Amino acid sequence: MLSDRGRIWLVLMLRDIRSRRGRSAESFLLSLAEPIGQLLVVYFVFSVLNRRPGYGDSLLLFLLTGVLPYFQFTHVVGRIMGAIRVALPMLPLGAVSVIDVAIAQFVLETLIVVGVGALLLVVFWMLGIDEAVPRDLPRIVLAVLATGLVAFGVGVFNASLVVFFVAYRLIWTLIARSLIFFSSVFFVVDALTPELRDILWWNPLLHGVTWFRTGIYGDYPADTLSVAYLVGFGLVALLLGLSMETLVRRRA
Amino acid sequence: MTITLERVTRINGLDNGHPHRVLEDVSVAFPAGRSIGILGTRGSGKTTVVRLLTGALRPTAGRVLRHGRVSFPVGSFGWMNRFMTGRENLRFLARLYDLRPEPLIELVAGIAGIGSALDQYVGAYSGAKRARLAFATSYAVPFDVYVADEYLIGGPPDFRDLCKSLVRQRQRASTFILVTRSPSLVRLFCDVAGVMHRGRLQMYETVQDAVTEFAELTALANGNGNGNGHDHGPDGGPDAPAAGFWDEEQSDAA
Repeated sequence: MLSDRGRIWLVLMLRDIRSRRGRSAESFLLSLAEPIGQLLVVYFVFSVLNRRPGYGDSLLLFLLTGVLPYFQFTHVVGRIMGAIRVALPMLPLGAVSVIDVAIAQFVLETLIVVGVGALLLVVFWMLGIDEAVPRDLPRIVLAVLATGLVAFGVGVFNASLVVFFVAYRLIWTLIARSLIFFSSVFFVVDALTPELRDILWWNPLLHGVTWFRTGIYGDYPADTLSVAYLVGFGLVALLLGLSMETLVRRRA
Repeated sequence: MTITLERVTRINGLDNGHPHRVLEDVSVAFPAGRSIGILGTRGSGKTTVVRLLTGALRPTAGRVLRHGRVSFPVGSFGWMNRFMTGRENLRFLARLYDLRPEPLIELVAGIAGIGSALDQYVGAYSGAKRARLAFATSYAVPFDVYVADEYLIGGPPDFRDLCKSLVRQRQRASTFILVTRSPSLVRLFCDVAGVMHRGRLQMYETVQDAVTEFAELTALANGNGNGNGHDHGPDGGPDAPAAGFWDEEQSDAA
């Protein structure tokens, strides 16, 4: 049964890759390079402003370790929000459900971000940034999985919500864009004032970024980190998302 | 290998402020290996029933049990991605149904006869090519149950003859469920029939009984009590003889 589902997810991922390439081979390659482009833009701005890295010796690495979880989260959520639209024409085939499409999008998008991230870490190391060698790989894997859980849950929830409330798509775009400023991508959360920390603590992505950085740097300050909150948020979002999706299916 | 409906209710939004019940507490086990026609007037929810049968839609209450490999609506094209070539779409379908891609592609290519177009993006296909590919694919995949929404054949005239023989061939081993408003289609291809009306699905002893009942319902709906069993084809036109339907009205059905 699970192997059947696995085959279907793999087939859907291959279809997604082919269809993206079919649309425009250049735009497909550009979509792979988007995190790199964004990283370079932010790096350029920070360099011009003469900003020091929030932690460690390399500004580039500090920004990368924040941008990667941010991209993983926003890209996965964005893709899953489109899953219903992608799945609808395939539903008459019987073998495919909206959740199958969402899972395939989730795995593909996560693999792209992880692949780009791993490649950049290797390049940074080759450029002489020794900190780019992860200190705790299992921790990184767990952080990626936990951030992925939150992204999948929020994605399924959002995908269902936009069926009832179309304007929510625009609201989510604004939320997703602004999240980069509130998720400790550009700063170390433990270095903030307690008042600010208490407010930002509720943002699950902040915990995802912090956990990811502890895996890279080893001794990254993580007093604010709550793994329980991150995973709990992911599970609640997933539960709510799946319930909403069931509701949408009954009403569709 | 067939489909069974167990106390299925399906509500589609509101109709004049009341829930529009396409099906209400319907239970029916379609006999395996037979060709079943379901007659329904325009707006009776035929497409909703097809979507329930293929699994594209869930019932509001009750269960739809599908045993065996159930087809997508015969001749439908929407599942194909326009940014992929015909060959890539067929490979996707084969993998989805756990079939070997190359034999399927070869078989479809032989039936559809669209040559090198198989390697073009399907978004660039003409209507005729689209229909050829869609119907060829429908009958190339060995489904246990074929579900059709009005159309069993399509494409240009020479291709329709090929389609007809494919239908006959598949009917020997598979179950067919044809949901339509055309009694002549049901007479031609089905050996069991039922009528959908106001949320009910009534199966009849003979095809003729179903056709007669459907004609009476249609006549009543048209404000004419004289039910005569004449055809009302998918275009709503009256008395279209079967041959005329095949030759004139079903061009590029996909």
